[in-house]
Formats: sequence, structure tokens, C-alpha cells
Amino acid sequence: MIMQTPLERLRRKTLKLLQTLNTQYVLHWDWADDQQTAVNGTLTFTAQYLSAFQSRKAAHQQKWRTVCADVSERLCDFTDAGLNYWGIYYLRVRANTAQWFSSWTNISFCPDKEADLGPPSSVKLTSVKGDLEIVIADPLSSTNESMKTLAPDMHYRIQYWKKLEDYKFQNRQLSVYLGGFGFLEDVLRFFMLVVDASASNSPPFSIGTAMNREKAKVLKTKNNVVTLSELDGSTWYCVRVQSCCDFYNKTSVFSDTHCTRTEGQTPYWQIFLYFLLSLVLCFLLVLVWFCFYKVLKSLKSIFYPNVQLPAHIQELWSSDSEKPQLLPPDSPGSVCEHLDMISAEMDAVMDAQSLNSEDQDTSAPSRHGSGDSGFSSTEEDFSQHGAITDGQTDDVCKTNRRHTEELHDGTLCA
Amino acid sequence: MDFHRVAWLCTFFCFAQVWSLPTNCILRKDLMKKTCTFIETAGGLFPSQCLDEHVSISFPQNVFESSNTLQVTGVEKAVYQTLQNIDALFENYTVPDQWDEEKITDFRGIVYRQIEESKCIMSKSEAEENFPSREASLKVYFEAISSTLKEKDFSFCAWEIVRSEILRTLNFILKHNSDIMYESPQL
Repeated sequence: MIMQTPLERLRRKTLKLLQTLNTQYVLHWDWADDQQTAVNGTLTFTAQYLSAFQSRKAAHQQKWRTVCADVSERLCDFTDAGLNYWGIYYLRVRANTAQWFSSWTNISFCPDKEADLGPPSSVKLTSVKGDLEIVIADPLSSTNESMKTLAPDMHYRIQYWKKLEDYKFQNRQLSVYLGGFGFLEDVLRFFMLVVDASASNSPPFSIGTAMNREKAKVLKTKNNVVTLSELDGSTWYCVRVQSCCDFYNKTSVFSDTHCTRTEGQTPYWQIFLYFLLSLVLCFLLVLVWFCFYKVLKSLKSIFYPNVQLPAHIQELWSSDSEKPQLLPPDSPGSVCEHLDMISAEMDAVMDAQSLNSEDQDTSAPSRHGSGDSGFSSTEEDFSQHGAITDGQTDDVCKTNRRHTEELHDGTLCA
Repeated sequence: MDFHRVAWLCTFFCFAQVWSLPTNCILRKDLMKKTCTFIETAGGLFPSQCLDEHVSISFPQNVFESSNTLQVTGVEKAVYQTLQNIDALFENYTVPDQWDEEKITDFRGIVYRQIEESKCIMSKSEAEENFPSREASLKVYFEAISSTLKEKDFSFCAWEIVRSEILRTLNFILKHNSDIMYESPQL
């Protein structure tokens, strides 16, 4: 039971600070220990809240709800205390030990008016056909509900800018682009770039700094999916988003910066290269087809030819009997045969000739008797002449016969 | 010396006047909507057992209607006073247990907030003085409501009648008086 409450000594300086984000409310306080009064026992704190409309009642009728009872840490989380987003509340804290307690320190709090708004829970940046598409996820309350249900007039401010290169060296002047990273990082980057530049390009040269980006453009929207159009192709762009509420001019911190490059037009050399490749491909295809066709044709002509052998030769060719020979081995007759040339004109010429040459030829023996047939007497003169030729042919036939006889003994034409 | 003092005082009061210019001297439509939602969801539909007891209270439509733009401030004040009257009703009398206590607390909280934040409306100057007549009609209306409560001995059905009247009033205001209330701009 608490006996005394020496208020003068107990009234300490207590600083209160309410940390808020969306629907998260954490009350922090400070307790400045007075060196004069010794603290007997452990020091604990109690935190309570009350709906503001109930403050009009008498003190004993007010229904203060305790959120943190006798806690040792100097903070109390009111997130799950059931504070209505649109109401006004009084929060109070006091310190107590076993023997005494301090007086209450009050603050008033209206979440809708005073709770800070958080940035979007996520920002996604993608490059789509020369435009940039931004997908924004709403900031979430402590119950993972979108803050738009609590603050319907919430909208987003999208800042986007063209990102320039890190540095540029031109006309013996080094321009270092800074900004957008933070002071310490910028200083580090500056020195590193100066060192790099002096390594590749001999000093002296002048050094200057410039902004990392062009002036940023701002787009206000309530939508969660935004497309930035009319941008330069093949350029780096950076984007960051903050959420805003109009009535109390609440603005959140900016989300992380996201950078991406827009798609550009296909360069001419690429178009030309593709065209050339397609030409070569077509040519190769035609060649392959042509060769294939030729091979097919030659195969067809080998195995399935158009021109056929005559039927009787094909029979002989396909049959198993001996191949036909040009020279039959057992032919009885000689190859030579006498030709009887009978001509009336020739007789008259012969008669004239024979009168002249009769004396000469009478002594010559006639040998027409051997081996001739069908020789008439009327053709005596001629037969003489013919006999000579006959005799000559007989000699030839004899030699031939002898030749064939000789041949017959051996093999025939091996 | 005195002249300097006077000059400084005048400057001080001039700035004080500028700085004291109210920025929230307008009712918010979204808060009004939330007020309506809270009282609607605190209970269910009008219970059938109370239909016999239903008393028709004449609704003062003319209080929320303005014939020309000069009467706008008067209508604003009338809407503000309606909220004050509703707040007084719940402050003085205890609500039935059948209702959702949390929703009633939220309802009362948001009504109180609107009253506290937009107090300056009552100090606005009217172009055409018409608020006193509106105030009188409102007074008659709310007295009829509170007398119904007392006559029926603060029964559940009496409170349901009161609730239905409040809902009717708030819905009427939302439907016909959106022009005097702040609405977030459509982007």
C-alpha cells in the first residue's frame, strides 16, 4: 500500500516521444534520476490510454486502459492496444516503486493526424519496350492491411531522373558526378575516381563536380502500376517513390532508388548482320537441296534405269547358259565364201582384153578346176582372169583353212 | 519609447492574428462516412419486434438545404451542430448492452474528434444570416428524439429508434451536403 506521495520530489522530468509508422505506435520516455532522492527498490512504469471523449467525465469515472503494467524498459508499444485510427486518445505514463509513485505525464495522440506514413512496401522497376513500368505495393499496417483502407486519399509521388555516367574526362577536365548515394559514399567515390583518372590520364588536369542526375521529374498518382513514357531509348533512369496524404500534408520517406536501362532501337549493323546471316542460310539450304536432288537422281539412274536392254539379249543375260560366242569352234565350213560376180558389160570388156593378152595367157596353166563350182564355159575368158583371182583366193583359203586347223588343235581364243 | 512599444505590440498582434488562421475549418467527408459506418455496424438491422413501437419523428430537411450560395456557412454550422447534438445524446445517456461496445466507442471518438477539430466553423461569419432558424429546427428535432428515449424508459427499442434517426440524418447529410465537406482530390 502506498502511504505517501511526496509530489515535489517525485516530479521528475520525463521526456516523451512517440515513434509512429503506419499503425505502429511506440511511446518512449525518459526518466531523469534525481541524485537527491535515492531510489529504493526497482523502478517500474505503467502506461495507459483513454479515448478523449471520455475525458469530460469525472476523473473517477474515466476508464483508463492499461497497456503496459509495471514494465522496467522505458517504452510501451500501443500498436495492439486497439486504438482506433480516427479517434483522439490521451496516453499517460507514471513511474512507481514499492513505496511511491510519480504523477502522470499526459500526451494526446490522434493516429490519423500524427502517425507517420511509411513508404511503399516494395517498388519494382522493369523496362518494357522503351517505357518504364513501375509496380508499387502499398505500405502495410500492423495487421498487414493496405494503408489505403485507413487513408483512402493516400497517393504516391514518383521521382524519376536520367542517370549520368560516373565521370567524364574531356579537354583536360575531369567532371565527377556525385549525389544520390550519401555524403560519405560520395566523398569516397570522388577520391577513387580522381585517383583512377590520374592513373590513366597524366596530370595536370582540372577537376570539377556535378550532380549525378538531371533535374528529377515528379509524377503524382493513386495507381499501383504506372508506366513512364516518352523516355529516351538506351538510357539509364532511376526511380524512387514516396507515399503522401493531402489533408495533413503527410509525406513518407522515399523508398529505395531503383535504376534500369530503357530498351533502345536496334543498331543498323545488327540489322545488316541478321540480314546477311539469313542470306547465307538460304543459300546453304538451296545448295543442300540441290546436292540431295542430284544424288537421288544418280541413284535412281543406277538402280532404276530408263533404258532397257532388248528382250532376247536380256534373256540370254539373265539365263545361266554359256555366254554366246562370236566364233563357233566346230564350224565345218571355211569362213571364206566365193563370190560369183556375173555382169554382161564386164564380158565385153573382158573379150577385148583377152584378144590382146591371149598369147600371153595360153601358156599359163589353168587351175580353175580345183574347188570352184558353177563356172560356165561361156565365161572362159573371164574365168581365166577369174581363175587367177580364184587361184589367189584359193591360196588364201588354204592358208586360212590351215590356220583354222592349227587353231582347232589348241584352245580357241583364250 | 511608448510609441516603440505600441508599434511592437501591434506587430505582435498582427502576426498572432495571421498565425491563428484556422486550417481545418472544414468538415471532412471521409470522417462523416466513417461515423455513419460505425453507428450502422454497432447494431444490426432495425429489429422487427420494435416495429410496433416505432414513432415517426419529423425530419427537419430544410435545416440542411440551402437555396443559394450565401447560405452555405449556415448549412455548415447546422451540420456541425448536429454532430454536437449527437455527441450530447450519447454523453448523457447510457447505450444498450446489445450494441457492440467497441463500435460505439469508435463512433463516439470520431464524433468527438470532428467536433474538436472543426470548432472554428461556429466562428465563421455568414454572408446571409440564416443559422438561428436552422438551429431552432435542429433543437426541436433532437428534443423529440430525447423525449422518445425518456418516454420509452431507455429501452432497447427506444435506442434502436434513435439509432435509425441518426442514420437517416447522417445519410441525408452525406447525400446532399457533400459540397460543403472536404473530399480528397481525384488524381
